Amino acid sequence: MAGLTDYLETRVRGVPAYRPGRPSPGPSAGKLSSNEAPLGPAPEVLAALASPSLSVNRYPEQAGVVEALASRVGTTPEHVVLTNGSDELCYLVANLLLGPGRVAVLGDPCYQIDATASLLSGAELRRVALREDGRHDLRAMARACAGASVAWLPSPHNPTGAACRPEDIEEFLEVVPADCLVVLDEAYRAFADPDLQPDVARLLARHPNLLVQRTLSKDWALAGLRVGYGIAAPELIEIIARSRPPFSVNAVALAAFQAAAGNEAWRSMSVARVRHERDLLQSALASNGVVYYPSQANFVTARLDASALGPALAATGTVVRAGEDLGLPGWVRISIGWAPQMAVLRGVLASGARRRDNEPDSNTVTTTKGA
Amino acid sequence: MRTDALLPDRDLNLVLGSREIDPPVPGEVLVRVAWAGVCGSDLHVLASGAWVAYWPATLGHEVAGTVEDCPGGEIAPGTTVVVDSRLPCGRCAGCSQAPSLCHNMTWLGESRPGGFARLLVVPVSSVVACPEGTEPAIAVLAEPLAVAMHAVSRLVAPPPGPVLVVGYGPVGALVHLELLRRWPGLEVCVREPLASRAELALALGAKLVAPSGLGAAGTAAAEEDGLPAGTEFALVVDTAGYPQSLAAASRAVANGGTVLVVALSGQAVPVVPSDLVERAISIVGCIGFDGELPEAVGVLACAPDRYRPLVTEALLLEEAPQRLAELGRRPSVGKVVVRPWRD
Repeated sequence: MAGLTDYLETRVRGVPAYRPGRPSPGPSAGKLSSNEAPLGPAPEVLAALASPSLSVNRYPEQAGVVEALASRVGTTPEHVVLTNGSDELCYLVANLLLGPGRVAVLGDPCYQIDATASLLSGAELRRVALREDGRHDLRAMARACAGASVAWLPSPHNPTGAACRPEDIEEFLEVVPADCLVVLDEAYRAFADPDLQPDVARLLARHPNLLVQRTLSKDWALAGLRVGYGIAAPELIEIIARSRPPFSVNAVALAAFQAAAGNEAWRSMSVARVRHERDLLQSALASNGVVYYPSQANFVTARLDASALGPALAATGTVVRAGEDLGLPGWVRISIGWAPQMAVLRGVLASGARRRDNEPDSNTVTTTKGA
Repeated sequence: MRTDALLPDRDLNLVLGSREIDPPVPGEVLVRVAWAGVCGSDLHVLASGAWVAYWPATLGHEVAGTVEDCPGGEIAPGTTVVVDSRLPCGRCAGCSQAPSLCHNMTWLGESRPGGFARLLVVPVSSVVACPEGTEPAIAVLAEPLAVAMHAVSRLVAPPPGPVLVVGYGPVGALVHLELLRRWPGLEVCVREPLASRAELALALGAKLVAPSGLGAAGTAAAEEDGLPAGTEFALVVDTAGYPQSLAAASRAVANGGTVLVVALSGQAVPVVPSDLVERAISIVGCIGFDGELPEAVGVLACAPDRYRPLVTEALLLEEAPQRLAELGRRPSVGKVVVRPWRD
C-alpha cells in the first residue's frame, strides 16, 4: 500500500486540489463565489426535469443536442463533441496531447483546471504573465508556443474576466505552430461585448489546430447538470469523441438543454441582467477607489483583502471567492448575482470605503427634484 | 427614536435624511425594513404630491423586514414579516363588506410614515409573518402579488380562451404569473411596447402581441404575433393605464368576455353602452386586496425562483433619489426595490 500511495503522490505532486466556491451561509442568492446564473434556468427546464416523459431507462441520445449546438455556431454536427462539463474536455485534450516531455502554454494566472489537467498528464507548464489589464499577452504566448503541444486560451479569461480582441486572436492563430492545439475557452462568451465575440466558424475554417471550448453552465444556467462542448475540425472531434466515455453527458442534462433552447428570451434576459449589474458593480468599485479588471464575464475581480471583506460580507449572507484560490492573492473574484444581492454587496463596499476614509455618516446627501 | 429615511418635501424635493418616529407601544411592532418596493403610485406622489397627508413624507407601502421590537409580545423579534399597506377606517359601510371597499381608505406612506426608512412602526395586525427562511427581497413582492391575486379573484370563472395582458410592468407580470399559477395551461398574450419588458414576458412564457396585431371586435389579426388569425381574447387585463388603454382593452376583448381594470388612470374614456350590450362585455374593476396578503407570502416562500426575475433593480438608500427621479422617463424592466438604510 505504501508503494501505491507513494506512486500516486508522485502523480499528483504539484497538482492543487480544486476548492469549489463556498456556499452562502444564508439564501443561495448570496453565493457569489462560483460564477453561477443568478436567475437559474428557464421555467421550461424545470418542467422538463419533472416531466414523466423523461426516460432514464434508456441510454442518452445526443444527436439532437449536437445538431442544435452546431446550428447555433453555424457549423455541422461533425464539428461538435459534447462533454461532461467543459472541464472534461480539458482532461480529454490533456490525455490526448500532453504527457511527459510535452509542453502546455498558459496565462499566469490561469484557469485552474487547464493547469490541473496538464500537470496530471505529466506535461511541462510554460506560464506567460497576463498583461496589466488582465488580458493574455498573446505575442508572448505565441513565442512560448514554440515546441508546445497545447495553448490554453480562455477568453474572457478566468480569473480576470478580460477578453482578447478577435483580431488579436486571429493574429495569434496565424503564428502559433500548426502542431500546437489552441484551446479557445469561451465559457463566458455570452457576457462579452458583441465586438469581443470572435466569429468562431470563420476561425475554425482557417485554423485546423483550433478547438473552441464552451459550457452550458453560465448563460444557460445548467451548471449542476454538467454539459460542455467542443467545436473543431471533424478529424479532431472524432478523435476526442473516441477517447471520451460514450455517455458522459446524461439524459437529464440533454433534456434540460433542449428545453432551455426553446426559451431564448430567458437566456437573453439573464445575460442582460448580468451585464447591467456588472456595470453597476464596476462603477461602485471605481467610485470607492478599488482597482479591478474591467470584466467581460459574469464576475469582476478586484484588488480587495478577502480576509478583511469576508466577515462584513458574511454578515449579509454573501460569499465571494478569495483570489488565493485562483492564483491572485490579494484579490477577490465577485460573481454577478441577483440585483438585491449586488446592492447589498455595494453597500458593504461603500461602508468599507467610508470606514477607510473615516468619513462621518452625515445625513443629508442628495437633493433631487421629484419625478 | 430616529430613522434614516427618504423624505420628499412639500415642494417635491426628494431628500435623503432622517426623521423622528415614536417607539412602538403594546399593539404595535417596530420593523427594521430590509427592502421596500417602488410602486407606480409612489412615482405619482413624487410627481404630483397627491394623496399625502403630512410633509415631509416617507413613502413606501411594499415592505419586507424584520421585527425589532414588539412590546405586546405578539410576534417574536427576528421574525421576517411583510407589512400590510392598507389603512381602512374600519367604520364605514364599505369596511362592513370588505377592507378593500373602505370609503376612507388610506395607505401606508401616504397617511403615516412608510417603508422608505430604516425603521417603521405599524400595528401588530398589519404584519404577516413569513415562513422561516423566506428571503426578504422576495417577500417584498407580497403586497403587489396580493393586488394581482385580488384582481384575478374578481373573475367569476376561469377564462375560457386566451388572455391578453396590456402592459407588462410589475403588476402586469404578477397578474401573468398568477393566471398561470391558477390555470397552468392558460394561453397568455402580452402587449408591451418596452422591449426589455416584452423580453421578460416572453421569458416567462407569454406570447407577444404587437399593437398592430389586434383586430377589430376582440380578435388577434396578425399571424406575425404567433397567434392564429382570429384568436379571441376571453379576458383582457389592463395593467397599463395609459390614455385610452381601457378603450383599447374593450376593443380587444371577445364578445362575452371580460375586461379587468387593474391600472389607475384619471383619463375619461368614452363608453358606448351598445358596445357593452351587444357584445355582452363585462368591465370589472378592482382595488388593493382583502385576505390575499398571507396567501401571497406563502406563494412567494414556496416558489421564490419563480418570482425572482421580477425584481430587476435594487437601490441603496443613497442611490434612490436619483433613480426614483428618473424612473418616470426611464422605466425599470420589473420591480425596483430600495434598501432604505446605510451600513
